[in-house]
Amino acid sequence: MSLSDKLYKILIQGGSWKTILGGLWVTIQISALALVLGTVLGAVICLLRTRKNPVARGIASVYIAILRGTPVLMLLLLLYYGVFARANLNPVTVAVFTFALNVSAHVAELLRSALEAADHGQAEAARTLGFSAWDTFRIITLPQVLRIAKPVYQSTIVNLIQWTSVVGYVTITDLTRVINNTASRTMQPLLTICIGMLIYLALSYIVFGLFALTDKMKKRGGETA
Amino acid sequence: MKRFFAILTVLVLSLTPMNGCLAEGESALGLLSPQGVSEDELNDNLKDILFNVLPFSGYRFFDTFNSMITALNSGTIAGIETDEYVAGYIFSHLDGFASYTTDALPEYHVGYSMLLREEDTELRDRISGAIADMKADGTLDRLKALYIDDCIAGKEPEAMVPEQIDGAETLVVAVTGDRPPMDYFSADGTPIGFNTALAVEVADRLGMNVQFVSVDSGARAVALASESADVVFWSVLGDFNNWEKASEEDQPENTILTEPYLTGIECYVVREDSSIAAD
Repeated sequence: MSLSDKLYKILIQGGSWKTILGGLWVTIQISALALVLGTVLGAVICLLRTRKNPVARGIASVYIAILRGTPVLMLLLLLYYGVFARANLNPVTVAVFTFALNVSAHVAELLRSALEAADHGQAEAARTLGFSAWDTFRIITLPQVLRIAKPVYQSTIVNLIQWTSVVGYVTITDLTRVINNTASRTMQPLLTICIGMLIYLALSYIVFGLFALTDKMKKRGGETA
Repeated sequence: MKRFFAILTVLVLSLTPMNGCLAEGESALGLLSPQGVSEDELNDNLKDILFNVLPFSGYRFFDTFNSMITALNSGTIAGIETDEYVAGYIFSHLDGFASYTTDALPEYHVGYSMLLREEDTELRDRISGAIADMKADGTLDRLKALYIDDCIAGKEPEAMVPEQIDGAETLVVAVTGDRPPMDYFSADGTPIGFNTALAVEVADRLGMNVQFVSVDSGARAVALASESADVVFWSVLGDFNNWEKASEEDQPENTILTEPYLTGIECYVVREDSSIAAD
């Protein structure tokens, strides 16, 4: 069988490209929802983590330690087959929740390190000049934090997309699952897996591209301002 | 120059597993991991066959059929143990593979059954009853001809569409998509194969709706225990004149099996370019 025959079988025959796109869409949905939810949750955890109150700080530290120190697949299996087993929840909901938890721990840590890296002298100066605490944060600290956190956040997103490839364990048909199914049906695992990797690679580069685009837009905005 | 070497490395890395040049010297046999038992607990009979009767240099366990086929394709292993139906599917979809037989080997059978939770004995008996009826009235033979024989012959069968009965109980059936032609996904993403067709027919006879959930083959027992699925497909190896005894070996705890709806001969598929095929 020639390569083009194999590709035809894997990608075209019987509309299998639609199935692959369907799986890709599930991957994107889970990643995007988990990212939004996880970022919000991560900001809250970071807020707790940087409090002076030792209880709040302790809770946040334990939360981060557990979620960052355990494989997300274990958490997913625990939540889907254990905690929410009888709750009759949609598996996608459980997956989004799981990945949001995991991402929130990473986001909390990356925000905290960015906060620490931001120039404290500037914030102190602003306070001395009579800026309110909120204004100081909004105008002085936040822009620095965002700039410092951006590259790490970008790789967190790409990591998240890749981690979601385990959701096949909890009855979700995502991109990896579709690729596996296609490999079984066509008996062409090597080629099919390569195609799957290319799709994930493209997805990652779209994320990198979007970030590069925002950088460019900012630069242009800075020049005109 | 740096770039040239980078590209060269990538090419070598990507092409090496493709053409199977790692295959030389490797002549291990691929097996699916027994789900309920550890490797140490495998019965001595199997070990005896593996090391004394078969010419393979050793064995490797795989969690999914798919990963086993990948290893076979790349030449990491020289052959796999499977049943006649899966072997038929491999032969009809891939070139370069042969079946390995030896007179020294006792004829083993694979039985395809459904696995249920221990407490669902009533449901198990109803399913077993439906299977017995289907055997008697020729439905099983018809399904086998359509979903196994025709499929192996190259015809793509149509997936059976379950009828929805209002207000009826739902039978949640886990499919893995990992064992063509028994259980796989068609190009448009619907579960298809002999197992799924059988589940549709059984549910129809019991007056139940059927719903398929896609589960990783390693997570079948968990899916059953956590009630994510009511029924999973399970194959057992052994002496089917006495199937209840044969099934004990790798059956997960707290589960029960239906009577096998299909049995097939255990066989070995080997790479034609391996030392084993040449013997």
